[in-house]
Amino acid sequence: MFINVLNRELRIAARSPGEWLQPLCFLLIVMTLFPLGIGPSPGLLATLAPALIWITALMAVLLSVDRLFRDDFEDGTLEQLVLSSGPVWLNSLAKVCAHWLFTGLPIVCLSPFLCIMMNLSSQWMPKIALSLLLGTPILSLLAALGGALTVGLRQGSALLPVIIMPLMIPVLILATQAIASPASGDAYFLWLGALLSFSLTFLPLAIAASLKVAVSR
Amino acid sequence: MIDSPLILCHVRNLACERNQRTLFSGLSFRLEQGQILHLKGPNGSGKTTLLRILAGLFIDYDGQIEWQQDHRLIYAGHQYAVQGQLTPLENLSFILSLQGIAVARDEIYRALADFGLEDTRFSLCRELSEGQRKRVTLCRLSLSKRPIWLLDEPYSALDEAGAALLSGICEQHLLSGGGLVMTSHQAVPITQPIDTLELQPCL
Repeated sequence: MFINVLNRELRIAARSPGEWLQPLCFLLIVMTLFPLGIGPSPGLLATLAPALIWITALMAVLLSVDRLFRDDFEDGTLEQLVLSSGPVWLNSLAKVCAHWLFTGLPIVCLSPFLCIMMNLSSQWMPKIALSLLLGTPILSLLAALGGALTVGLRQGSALLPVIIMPLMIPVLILATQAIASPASGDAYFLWLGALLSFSLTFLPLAIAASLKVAVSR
Repeated sequence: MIDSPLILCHVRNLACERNQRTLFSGLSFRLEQGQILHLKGPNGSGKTTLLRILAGLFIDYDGQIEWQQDHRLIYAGHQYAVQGQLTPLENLSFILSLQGIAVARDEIYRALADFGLEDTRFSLCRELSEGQRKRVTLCRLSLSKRPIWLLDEPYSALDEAGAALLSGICEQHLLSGGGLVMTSHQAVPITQPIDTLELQPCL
């Protein structure tokens, strides 16, 4: 069941590259503009870089999530997903995994490149990549929850960031602290990991419940 | 015909209200094996809502719905659940896998051929016409062997040949002891006796 849904999502994503390339292009464009706007002072850029990378990644995930459930809602697949014989949370988790594979994972892979663009020395790269590796799945899960809550609403896409942004703030704080603090960074990474396992356990259930409400209108 | 048909579903005193308007109340009926129930009524009288209640997609109702034995059902709504970026084969095997049925590729090809979709089996569904996509849904009906079918306007968007195919699989389904509830504004061209349930708009 999980594999079938994942397989389907990956197939669809592979056939519509525009949808998942758009947030990545957004990320690259914004990260190009920051050094130009802030000016060529390496010290200042290096101080700001972790936060800038993270905020842009967060925006990129938000940008990509509106379509996560909308197509399925409109063509009736979501009804079938809710009526399916398997657990809805597992199917939702498969959809989130596919979303992360096409949004979060590319961001993680791009992160060394982003570090170079922000003139960060190479010792930062593993930290930033690790924080994104732990953090972006949480962002995907949260964004999917927002998508599931707003999919049945006509003006849902306007509401989504408002609902989800506050929930993403802890992730942002933990991640940037993990990168910035030189000595005690490990503790923040552990916190980030704890948050990831918590979200991975409970958010699929919340997403499934929201989807059930969305189709029962 | 089936000698002593089992009751598949027993509905007692069903009432539903939407947007402060009573759609129907005091609705009681039974669905037996081999029985087709045709829901009739003007637009907005609650036919689709009744089907969604039976499917378990809408739970804001009063009354009792008792399912006998195995109540695995298929709901085919206004939306076809056909993804434009997938081929008919991929769509069908996905939807069937959601229902926990693994169907061999050859069997799906055979069903697609039966429904006149032989030439389009490698094209993406967004390239298909409305009627062809509807036919993909019909393939799903014929492939998944479930005792209860809930069909919402199954004859819409189909040409004459498509309608004949649909009637054919419905007749087969009824003969094999299935139950069927459908809404349709057209007359239903099925040879078995059709029970009609008229939904009157409540004031």
